[in-house]
Amino acid sequence: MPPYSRSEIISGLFVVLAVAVFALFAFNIIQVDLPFTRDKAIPFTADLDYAATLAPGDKVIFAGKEVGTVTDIRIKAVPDPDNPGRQMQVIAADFQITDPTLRLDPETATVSVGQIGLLSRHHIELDPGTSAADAPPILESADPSAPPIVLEATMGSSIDAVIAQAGPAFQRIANVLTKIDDGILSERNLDEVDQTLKNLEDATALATAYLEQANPDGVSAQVLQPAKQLLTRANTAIDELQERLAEVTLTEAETLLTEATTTVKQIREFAQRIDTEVQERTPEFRRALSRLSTAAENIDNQIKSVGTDASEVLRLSQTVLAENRPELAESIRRLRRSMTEAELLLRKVRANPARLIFGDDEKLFDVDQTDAGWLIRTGRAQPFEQRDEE
Amino acid sequence: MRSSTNRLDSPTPIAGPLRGPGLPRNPDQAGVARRLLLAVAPVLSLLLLPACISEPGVTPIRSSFNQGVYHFQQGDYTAAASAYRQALRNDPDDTRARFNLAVVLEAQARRTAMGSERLALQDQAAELYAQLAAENASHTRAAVSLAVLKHESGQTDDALAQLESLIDAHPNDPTPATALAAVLIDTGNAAGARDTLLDARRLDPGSVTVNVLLGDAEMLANNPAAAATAYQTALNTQPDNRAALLALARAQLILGETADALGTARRLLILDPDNTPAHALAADAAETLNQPEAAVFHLWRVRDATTDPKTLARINNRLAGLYRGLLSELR
Repeated sequence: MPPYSRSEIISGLFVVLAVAVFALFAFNIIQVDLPFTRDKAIPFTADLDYAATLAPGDKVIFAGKEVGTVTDIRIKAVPDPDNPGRQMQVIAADFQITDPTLRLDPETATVSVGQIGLLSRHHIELDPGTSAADAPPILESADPSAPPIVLEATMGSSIDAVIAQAGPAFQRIANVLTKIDDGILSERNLDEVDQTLKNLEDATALATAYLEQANPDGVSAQVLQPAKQLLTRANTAIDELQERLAEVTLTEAETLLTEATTTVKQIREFAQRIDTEVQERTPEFRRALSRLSTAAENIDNQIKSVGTDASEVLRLSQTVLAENRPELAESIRRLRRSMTEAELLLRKVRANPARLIFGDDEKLFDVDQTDAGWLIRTGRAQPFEQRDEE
Repeated sequence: MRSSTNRLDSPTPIAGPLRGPGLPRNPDQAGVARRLLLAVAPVLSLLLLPACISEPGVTPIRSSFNQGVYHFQQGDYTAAASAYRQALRNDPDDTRARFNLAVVLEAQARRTAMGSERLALQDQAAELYAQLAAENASHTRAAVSLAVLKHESGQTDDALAQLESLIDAHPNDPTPATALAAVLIDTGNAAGARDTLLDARRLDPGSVTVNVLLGDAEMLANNPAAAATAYQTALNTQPDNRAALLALARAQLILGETADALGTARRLLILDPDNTPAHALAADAAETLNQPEAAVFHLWRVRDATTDPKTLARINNRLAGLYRGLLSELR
């Protein structure tokens, strides 16, 4: 053995130690697990609609706590359920759970692609589902070497998810509202409106929840406050529209009324249905319904009175519809405008998240120029001009 | 005498004080310059930072009242009403903010198609006017607007009497006279309106409102030349006044000054590209001037904004005629 001095050995050991620390650091940076540093982890996989910015190393989060990491994002071929014999491509996200205390039920657990803020990277949001009271943590109950456990993916709360869900809903409602605006109040359209409104309510709730994640005191309020106002306005408009539609469904009731003239039972059903559907009834309408119900008490007289009462109800229902048509049109106009603006706002933020910091000074669509002629020609006094700023 | 600049016929260029090898830079000077730069840079940065953060070139409007005025001028009535309400929270006795809020509420009502909401806004505005007029007898604007509301609700005689008493009470204020003239024009009394407006114009010769209404009175009296003069006077005071521009274009078209009418309509369209009446006027003028391409362009814009089936059919017929003319020219 060559004679090494003590100082040479110590400095050599320091060098080796430094290289080892540097190597560990490097492996950690590039997200490569070394066998001796690896924690126990249970592998999972889920098929996503859209991976956004997800990449290996991104977090798996449950209720704000990191419980694992994404290990791979890959394209996977799966059978096309609509076309037997053909296959389609989906994005599969592989991830592992490393939290030793997390209890997870693979049957009810779901994942989605989430995002903490509009500018942040995406992550996998885990909902561990409900487990039995005595269920052990997943790290104890599952085998790490077994094939990945498949979890169901749901729509997330990222801005992409909001747009993915809201965009088609906006488009669909715009089409439907155009038809309604044209005066085509068919039963099919009403069904479509009803379904679209449901979709839209989901999307609105999702967007509201997402926007509320942001810091309301920050500069982002410049964009988020108008967004919330838009969504609130949209919600109000939806409420108004639904209120009007409750009246519009009287068109459907016409058919029922025609059939109801044949049997007392049908008359009663009709009256009951109208009674539940119409929220704001005129006194005349209520009286007509009352007469209709009274008529149902006496079979002998009913058959004679049905024609008169039914036609009166029909006339009244048409009046209600006709009277409310301008208000229905206004509700539709506002809803359409709000939806368009909301969608545009979301898209603008996605295209340029810097708008959250620097704001968006573009005018809303509904901002019209002042009609100066109105004040002049009616003889109204002009408003006061600006004062000197203090 | 030596010139400080080179002359064309100068035999040799005159070197500046720092040019050439004869004047070496003092190393101490360079050091001082560097230190000075280092000292000044943070101060300059601090001074420039607010300028970079704030919106460039726009003076911020701080007071809620002035924000309300700005939003109203921009046509954003919701924001204007909100700003005036804030101004009233800051100072509940701000009668100007209360009056302007009433005007905004009326403007909002005009834009609202929903009957119940429109009525509610109009009621709020009327209540504000009434409060102002009751609290302060010298608040002419509120009293004038109340009288106008009375006329619009069918009580024209009461409104006229009220406005005349206001004129007597405030002989140096043209506002009641202007309102009286507007009511007279609305009732078809062109001569009465003209006399009233001429009196009002003596008080305020450059008033846009007075001159526009005077133009309207002249048009009602079938005197488009005088009307055009009045509108032009209004535009001399406020060249961008849209009401005056539109009215002037109409008067010029009636007078046969078609090219001028087209020019005036185009001036308005630069300010307000979606102004449908201006497009309609421009289409008429262009058609008269045998400019079918321009007429077609403006007619399409009118058509886009039209919902009435009869008007649509009429526009379609005109478009068809213009296209036929264009096709025949191509052949």
